[in-house]
Amino acid sequence: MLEVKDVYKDYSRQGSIFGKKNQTILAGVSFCINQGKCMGLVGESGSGKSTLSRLILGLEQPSCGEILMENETIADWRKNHRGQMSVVFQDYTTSVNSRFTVQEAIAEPLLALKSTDGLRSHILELLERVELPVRLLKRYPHELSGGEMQRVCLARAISTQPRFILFDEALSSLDVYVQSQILELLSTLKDQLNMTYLFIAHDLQTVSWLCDQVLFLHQGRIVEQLNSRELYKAQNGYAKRLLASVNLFSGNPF
Amino acid sequence: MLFWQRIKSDTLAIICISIILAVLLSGVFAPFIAPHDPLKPDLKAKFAQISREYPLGTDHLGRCTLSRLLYGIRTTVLLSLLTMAATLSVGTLFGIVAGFGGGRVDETVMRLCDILLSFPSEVMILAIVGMLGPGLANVVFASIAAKWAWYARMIRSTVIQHKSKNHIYFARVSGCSSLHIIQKHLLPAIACDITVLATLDTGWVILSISGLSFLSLGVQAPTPEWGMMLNEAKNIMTTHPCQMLVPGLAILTTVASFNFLGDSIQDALEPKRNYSESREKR
Amino acid sequence: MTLLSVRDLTIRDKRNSEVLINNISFEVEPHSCLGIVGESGSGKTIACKSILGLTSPWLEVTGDAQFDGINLVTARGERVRHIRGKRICMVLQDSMTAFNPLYTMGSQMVEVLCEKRAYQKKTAQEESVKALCRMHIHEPENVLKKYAHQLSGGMLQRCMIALAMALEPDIIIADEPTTALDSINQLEVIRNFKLLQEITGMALIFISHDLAVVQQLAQQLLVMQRGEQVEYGSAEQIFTTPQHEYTRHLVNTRRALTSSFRQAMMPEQDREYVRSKRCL
Repeated sequence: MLEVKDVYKDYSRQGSIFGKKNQTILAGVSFCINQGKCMGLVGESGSGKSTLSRLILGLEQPSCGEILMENETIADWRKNHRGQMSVVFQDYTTSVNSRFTVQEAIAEPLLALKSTDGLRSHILELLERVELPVRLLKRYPHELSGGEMQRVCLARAISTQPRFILFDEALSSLDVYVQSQILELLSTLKDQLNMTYLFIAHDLQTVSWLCDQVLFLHQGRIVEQLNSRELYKAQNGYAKRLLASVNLFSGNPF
Repeated sequence: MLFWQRIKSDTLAIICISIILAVLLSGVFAPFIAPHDPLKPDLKAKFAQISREYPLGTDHLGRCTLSRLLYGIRTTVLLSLLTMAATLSVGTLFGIVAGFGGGRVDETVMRLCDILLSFPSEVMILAIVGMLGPGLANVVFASIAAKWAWYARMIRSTVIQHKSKNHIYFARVSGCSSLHIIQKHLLPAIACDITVLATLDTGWVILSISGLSFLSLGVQAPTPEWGMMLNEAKNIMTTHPCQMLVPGLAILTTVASFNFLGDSIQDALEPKRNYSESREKR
Repeated sequence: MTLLSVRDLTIRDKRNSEVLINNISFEVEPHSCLGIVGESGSGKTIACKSILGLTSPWLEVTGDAQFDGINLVTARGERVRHIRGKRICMVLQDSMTAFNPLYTMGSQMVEVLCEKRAYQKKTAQEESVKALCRMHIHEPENVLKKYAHQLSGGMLQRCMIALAMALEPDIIIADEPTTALDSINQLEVIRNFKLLQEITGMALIFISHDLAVVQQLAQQLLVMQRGEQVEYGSAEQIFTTPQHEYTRHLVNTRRALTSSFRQAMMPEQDREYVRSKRCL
């Protein structure tokens, strides 16, 4: 469904008076995601994950290479399939306009699609899906906790029944308890609505739980692609180091 | 609406709104409340003392100061508000187009602003009025032309700041039109900044129009105007200070009211103070 | 000798009489680490902020927080400011906004070190570089020259921790310091905290929702839920035999996540063996 072909992204930075220095964030990234699958992307902060997510969403253009969704460019695909691509960001405090109530926030993509029939019942149904109480409808973002806010973002993201959702570190700011609840929810929704996910995170444990495949991004390149059930087969040095350093919790003392 | 509730509970805002409304209404109903004709000179009553007949005395041509003050509201305050509104509209339009459009559009608008801002504003106003000829309409047009670029720049930088926020990204990805994004996301966000800028500049506009009137480029004598009254009275400042105090205090009170009101509006528009009704009732 | 002793800490919102924290009590010994766990909104951060007097003015804080003979809850002004930053440091959760965007990292770190440790500018500069090296940050001199927006979130968090460590306080309160970090950096941070504890005898209050990280560091554990103290005691004991329903739930949730990863890291044949032994 999604094809990323040899994508490069440079940002020009004012290096000195006599010219700009180019900073390469992504250097030849290529991968594919099949329909209905969940792909995980891990890498340390600063490795280019957010930049890649902005390129895939069509918010920025790559310096080189192309990104195709069902063999169309992202801009064309989004125009032809409005509301079928969605995103959940990490920072829930800026993900929703602080002047919008929860109801207005969830209704926004539906109004953009001009599907206003049965809007209220649709919103109530979405709240039920993400397990949020109805009394939160009239609240403002700063009155909700992180977990509740992220659920609102999730409800908003699935409101238009998208076929592709990109999660840009969506669970990183949440505590483990809420994370596991939302992971369950994501897994159920994916099967129910046959969605394709790209799940960007730095926590390998959540990625391996939810995703079918895992990509390792290091210094702007994909260094390893593994099946999430076969992480022991890692070959690349960085990937192996990352996997080895994961903090495992044991119910028993050391 | 929460905004109005908050304004209602702010005492200073209520005082300022009352003053401004009183001034505006006085200006609108000046023909009914003014005791004398502001344009009719009466040299026998030159520099009359404060009395029942002339509540604020008379000026050097025997015209009632109170009547001139009331009629002057129309010229000074109402005209300044009109100029302000027009400048804001033009500046906001260009600012949003530049900030949201980005790329070449942004560059073009910004270079145009750079050119306009490189002229001292007073010189530019004088030049435009000089070319178009004296008169109120030309003064207004010149004021707008001089100031819009400044607003466009301020608003453009605010727009750019907000453009990279996640909620705007989401709106773009989910297919919201640019108009919707501007209307629902950007304009409310920049409303705060615009209000404060506008109220601070009202004083500048009042003084600018007055200054031009002094040079006979704006309001022509004998049309009453606060700034002109001030200038006429400066020659007799020591002998008849009342003539200078009256328009001076009028300008001071009005401009101060606008400024304080701007502060209150900014506070009232602050989104973090929004609470859903259930919390308010508790 | 207890470094910090907190008794019956209660925080109430004056505007709507809502009780945010209800009677929390704990103690912090030197050379030790207290872990505070609980879901978001349980009051972990606000409890620690109240000890340092960093809460909003509409919050009423009552109780006792004895540090070096002073009750931090009731002490005002200069006394608290003298302790804050010098003897008790707090590493904030959102490190990305904790630094001033107008100044370089170097100037901010030097400023703090000069004020709190009374260093000369040159010494402060050297100490900053050393602190960054301890966190295994490459090219520390370059990092010091950069502005906050030029560095990634994880890097900023490491800088913040490095700065707190350089101040060598008696207690560091670390609020979710490893959330934005990947596993390699997390391990480094944990190692550094452990090292610092051994060398300086510094005590650590570690707020986190990640039980795995807390397990590595904490000797004492405080579990909070919705502002209430649910369990308090030895970390080892609580993790092996949790008493309260909520703690058991937290432990089980975490273990479920871990076990899936553990399985994935094992080759097929080992998995069968382990499953047969019912160890997973």
